[in-house]
Amino acid sequence: MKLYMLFKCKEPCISLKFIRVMKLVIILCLTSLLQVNATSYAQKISLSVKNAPMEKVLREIQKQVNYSFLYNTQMLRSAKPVNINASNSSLEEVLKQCFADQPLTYSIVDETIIVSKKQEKVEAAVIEVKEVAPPQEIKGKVTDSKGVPLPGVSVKLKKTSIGASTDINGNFTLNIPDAGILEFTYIGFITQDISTANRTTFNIVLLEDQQALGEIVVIGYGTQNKKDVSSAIGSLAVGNKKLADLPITSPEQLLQGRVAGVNITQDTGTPGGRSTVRIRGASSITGGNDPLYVVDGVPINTGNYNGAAGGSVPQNPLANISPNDIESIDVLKDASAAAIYGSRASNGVIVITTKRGKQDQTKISYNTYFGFQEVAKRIPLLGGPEWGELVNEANVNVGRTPPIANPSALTTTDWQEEIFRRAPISNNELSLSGGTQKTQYFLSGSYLNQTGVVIGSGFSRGNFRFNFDQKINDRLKAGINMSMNRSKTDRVSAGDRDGIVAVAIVKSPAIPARNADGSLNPNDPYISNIDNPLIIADQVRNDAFSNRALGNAFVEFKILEGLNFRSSIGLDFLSLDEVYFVPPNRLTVLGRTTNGSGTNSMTQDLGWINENTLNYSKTFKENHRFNVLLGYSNQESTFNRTIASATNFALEAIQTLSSAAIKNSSSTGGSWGLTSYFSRLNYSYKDKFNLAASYRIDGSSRFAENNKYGSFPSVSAAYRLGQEDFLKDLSWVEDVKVRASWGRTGNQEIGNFTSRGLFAGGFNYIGISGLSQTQLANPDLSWESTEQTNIGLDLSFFKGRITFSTDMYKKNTSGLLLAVSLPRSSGFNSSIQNVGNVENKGIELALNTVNIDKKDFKWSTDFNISFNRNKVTKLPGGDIPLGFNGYASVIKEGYPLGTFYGWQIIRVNPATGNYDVVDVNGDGNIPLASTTLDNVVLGSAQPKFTGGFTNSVSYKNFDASVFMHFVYGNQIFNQAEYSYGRLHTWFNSSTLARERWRKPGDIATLHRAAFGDPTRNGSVSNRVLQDGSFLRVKNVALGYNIQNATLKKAGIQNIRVYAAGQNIFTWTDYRGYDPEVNANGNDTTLGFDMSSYPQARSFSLGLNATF
Amino acid sequence: MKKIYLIIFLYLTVSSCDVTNQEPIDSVSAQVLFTRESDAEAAIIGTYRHMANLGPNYIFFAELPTKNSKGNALNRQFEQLNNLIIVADNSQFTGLWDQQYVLINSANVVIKNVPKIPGMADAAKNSVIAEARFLRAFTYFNLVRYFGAVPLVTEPTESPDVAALQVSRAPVADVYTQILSDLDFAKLNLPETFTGLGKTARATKAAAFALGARIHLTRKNYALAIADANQVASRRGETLSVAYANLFLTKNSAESIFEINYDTQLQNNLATTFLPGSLSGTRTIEVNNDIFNAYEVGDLRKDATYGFANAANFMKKYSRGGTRDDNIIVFRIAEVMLTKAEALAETSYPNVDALRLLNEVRRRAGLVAINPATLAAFRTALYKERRLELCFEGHEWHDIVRTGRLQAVLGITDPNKSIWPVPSVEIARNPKLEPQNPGY
Repeated sequence: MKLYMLFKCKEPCISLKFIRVMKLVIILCLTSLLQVNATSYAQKISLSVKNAPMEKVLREIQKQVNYSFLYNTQMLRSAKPVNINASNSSLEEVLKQCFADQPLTYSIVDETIIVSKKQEKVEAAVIEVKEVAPPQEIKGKVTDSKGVPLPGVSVKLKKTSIGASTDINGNFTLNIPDAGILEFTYIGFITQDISTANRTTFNIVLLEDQQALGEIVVIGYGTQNKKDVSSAIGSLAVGNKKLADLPITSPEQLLQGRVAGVNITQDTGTPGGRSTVRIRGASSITGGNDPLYVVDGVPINTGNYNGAAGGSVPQNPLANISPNDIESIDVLKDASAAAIYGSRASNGVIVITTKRGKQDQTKISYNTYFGFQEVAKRIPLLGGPEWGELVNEANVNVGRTPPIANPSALTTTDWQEEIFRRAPISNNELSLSGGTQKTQYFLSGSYLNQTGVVIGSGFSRGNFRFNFDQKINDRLKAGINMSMNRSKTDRVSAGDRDGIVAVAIVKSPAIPARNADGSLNPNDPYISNIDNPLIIADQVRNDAFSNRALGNAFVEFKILEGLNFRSSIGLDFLSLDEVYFVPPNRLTVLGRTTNGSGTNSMTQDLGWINENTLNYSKTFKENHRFNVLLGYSNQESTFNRTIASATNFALEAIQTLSSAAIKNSSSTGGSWGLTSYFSRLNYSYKDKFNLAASYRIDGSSRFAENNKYGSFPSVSAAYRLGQEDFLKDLSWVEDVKVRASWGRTGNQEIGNFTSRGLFAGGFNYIGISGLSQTQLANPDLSWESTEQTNIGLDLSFFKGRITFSTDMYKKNTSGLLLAVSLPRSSGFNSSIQNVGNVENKGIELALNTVNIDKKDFKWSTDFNISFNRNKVTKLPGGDIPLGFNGYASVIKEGYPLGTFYGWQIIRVNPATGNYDVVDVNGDGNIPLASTTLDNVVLGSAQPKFTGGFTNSVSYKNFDASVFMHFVYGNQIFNQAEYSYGRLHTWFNSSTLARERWRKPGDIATLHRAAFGDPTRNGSVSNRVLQDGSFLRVKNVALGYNIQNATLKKAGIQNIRVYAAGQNIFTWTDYRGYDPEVNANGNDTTLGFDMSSYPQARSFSLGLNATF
Repeated sequence: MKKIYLIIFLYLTVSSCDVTNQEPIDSVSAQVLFTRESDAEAAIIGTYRHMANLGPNYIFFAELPTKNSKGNALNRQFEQLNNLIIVADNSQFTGLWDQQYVLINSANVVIKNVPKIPGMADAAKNSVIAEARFLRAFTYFNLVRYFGAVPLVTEPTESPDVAALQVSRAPVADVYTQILSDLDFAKLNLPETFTGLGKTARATKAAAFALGARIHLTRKNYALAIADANQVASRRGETLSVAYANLFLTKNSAESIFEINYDTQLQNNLATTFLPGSLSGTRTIEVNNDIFNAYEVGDLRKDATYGFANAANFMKKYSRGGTRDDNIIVFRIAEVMLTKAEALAETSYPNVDALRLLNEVRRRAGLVAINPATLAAFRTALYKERRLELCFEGHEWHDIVRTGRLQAVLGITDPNKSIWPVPSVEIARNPKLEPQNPGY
């Protein structure tokens, strides 16, 4: 029973006792779920009247039940005659009949039936019941607009300490010494002030704060009302915007183009593939720039877990989260918002909140969509005869004999048509949510199945979620969030010679895809080590199975009024099982050369986190609101991987490695831990001034003893000018808020044991295991530290119909961890040290307008745009050339990350057909320019601005939205053109090749064809860089809501049918498949299109039914 | 209520677990190493592994610039080296420098740390240190032949202090002094033999003397070369009993003195580089017709060395395309015999012993004995025999340079070209290496 081993502590720090207690908590939670709240009107009534006066009927009812009636006789006179036919009916049924079509309504408070006038419009209302002299005791009931009692509403006599909360039935009782103003406050509802003058009984209908629902902002370790926020936080209410209806498979894609300052690039179109998510630019060179993702309070692991060979398409760990389960996503952008997450916050924090059950709103929701996807674009390639001419010309130009006797006789295979297909995508999701006052739950299950637009690819995911909240007593609350899922990715390699897309571009069109007998043709007479892409898809198995369990359990204990203790344990378990197999046959290059090749890889990452917080809220003297948070957390993550590979298989049918003759295996692992102490103070004065300050200390196992702990402070302040009288008087001004913040955050993503001097095994020889030094010690290694200042302005006009928000920021990252090059005579290549600075500065603007707000017709527009400027400001080791063949990208002081580097072409020399390039080192470029000394900065992959533009319209039951996404001013390295555009081998080329130089005297834009490229025209130059700007109709959705009595009778609240389209149209000058690409998925070699899997255009039809 | 406090208490107990102390599971800190005798073995095996890593380059660089081979456009780096165009981004070339220093550092670690191992017998320590010093001598000898004056590092690297790691070049003479001192220690302390797989896969006394013979011949210290060759002869004889083809078809043959051993866990790209596509290779290094046509009629070595496929020859000494585990023969008896023959002839000619040794090599090749009348004629015959006997085993470039035939054989008139440039990337990392070797 050494269960504590689960968490890999050296000491049994989680004792058995603890586990028993946890069990107890879970059992308590579950039993409470089963306690159904018994509310029924047990007494039965039999009554039959026709055209009877209301007053008489009520008296008759009163006789039969032990309820008293409260009504104004005057009021009853307006009532119509009543018809009732009831035998042994419930009170409720009888009253329903009685009040049908009456200008009156009723409510039941304790054993009193209160009759009141019907309100024309549901509005905050006080129903006057009885007029009496100022009383000592007042009581009443608080309900929502549907008449559902609201428990826990705070009722307070203003300017006094007298107050109470409503009970389970929404009732309250209060003794007041004197008349005053009663204040009713409840989260998510509009606060109401009611005078107590001349009243003792109150029936209060609190209106849901429609705006406020979206305006509760999730901050680290808590929530905050948006009006109080003094930092820069972007929020996206996913459920409200119906985003989950779109055929989007991974949650980060929901954010794309919708939150200012967040730039999201889907790396490739691969199903289940990763996106590059950057909040306010990239601040690190080696340390990783992915934001920290926190799902329901659990910071999750989002690294690249790819292990197996041939799986060059990185897994997306976020694809484990179903977008359907998400309620809201909040992006903590500036340092003051993010600093509460300390050492992992320098790239910003994305807080994902999943859906939870709501009290008394039992809901079953079924959502399904089905659609198909296709590749919108083809690259125009040469046909067989033209290809033959090109190859002959390339050989002739270097003095070889033309290899193809009669090019015009060649046939043409359209490889792109062969590999692309129209592919279905479908998603089915069922959720159940609801609860009582004590218990709320949310259950969902979903299954997504996506076939890839490239043959042999696909993604499917099954997902299960359970969220549960239980109030154990007035002081104690507990809950569980749990999600489990499994996904399968059919991967395709992105390799040059075995990647389906790359091969489809470069493979000779003169080769038939199939033999005369219909079988696939494995032969390539021109390049022997390049496969038929159809055979790759058919023969090569490259699957990844990912399992993830993510969740936490918490208890919350109210120590005193306003003082809460919360403790939680979270778990993030991820396993990735990769299977790669090339069968032992003559169909593939690898099958031929290795006689079958297989790799199985098992990867596991187990993370746990324990967080403990104390939260104290208090309002002093009415105007001073304080909230203080103190916290302590421990987190540990352990990673393990086993890879086994084998070659020389016996049979095609047996894929297990045991059937192979040559076997190799290895295993590896690592772990890290983080101990944190954090605190935050929020102070608000008269709703005008807000101040927030936080301080966090993180201790990380990743750093050496000398620098184990880092501290991360932040402060921010906001001033709501809109609350000042001089602006309050302007009726069209709703709010004006200025904000300013400063903070320091860190980056610990540097690898687990970078500071250690290490020896590793595996340096084996003649079957004996050997050791070798692998890393030099650097005991001074420290955090990368980012300081960010932010100023912002929030405006809201015309009752919120126009809201505008802007932020300006400057982010300086120092102590960047860089591999400092060592003289190789040391036996080492480099050592990681804290050198280097990077700066990001920018402006973000977001404008939301409600253009038309009629009962039947609504039109709103959301627009956002972000400008970020990235620059490496200090790089002591000098330029770091990177990327393709080591010289296509460069990290260079004074230039942004993602700077392209290469030769600057002046012209195609008309005499030779070779490029004349800028001679930087002045050696005359004889015989050739140097690949290191003649490189110049050619451009940048950093966009000048990015943004999104959404229009949403609803007319009666129809709703529609169009979302456009744009990126401007970036360049892309088109590797496909780099490769085939060299015109140097048997590769096919795009029709661009027609522009090539052919004979002396030609004025051409493209170099000559030359077999083997002896004059290096194909080297990295501005030839392969293209403008990556685009404007894309990212999605269009059209929906229709059906809500009627017939459906209601069938128990269906609402049916929505919708049609959606993704990536409908893209305006771009980019010549590759798709300008949204970042094949390397990083920031130093940003903007590479490595014949990447193109993004699909998709159309889908869906149905959403709520019961 | 008590339960609640218990829960809180237990949570805090969990929290007291110190998660900031983590230890790697796939590597160890330097401090905990070299405490047991087996650590010495693991460290020297790791050094051999680095030797195996540089093995293919040991072959390629000695052959590519010569008329034995042709690097073709399929591998631009080979093509450049074939034409002795050395550009900074040729990673194959920078690898030649890097790999040797990785090996040297690994050897330095052994040499410095093994003496500290408590409870290990001195003889056992010296045996391991001798292997490390043998490998270090071998590597510096290759470095000095390719690059001339190079940084002479004899201490393991322990700190990433860039300034301290920027070591100036040591004069060639100093490098040789170190090489010979290492070799003397190795000759004295290496074992006569290893058992099992290690028999020829690890350095023995015979290997040290074979290295000595090679070094002394290179430096034209003929008496010393003869002496070391005699040490080898006294151990291994001067008769070639293994059929030429079998030297490569079977691993660790009776003729082999020191052979880098590969297996399916430790593969190399020699076979795939030389073999044609039909035999699972890429043939990025082709056979130069110059050597193909140089064989006399009836030379058994020709068929053992070459195959023919797809309209061209290929080199097949490394032929395990499927398993990619061809060994590299670093020293074998035939080379030592030819070395001794050359040293003897250079000392006095005519020389019966020199002729006997040369003709023994010819006999095994199926050729008749010869008797050159003059030293010049002997040299011509011997150089040819060396080339045909040892081609694609890492000798040709060094033999051409050593014997001053750059112009005669390769048409290279600039004597500076006998030494290659230090990779410019390395000079950028260590400006103390300036100036670059003349002529570059």
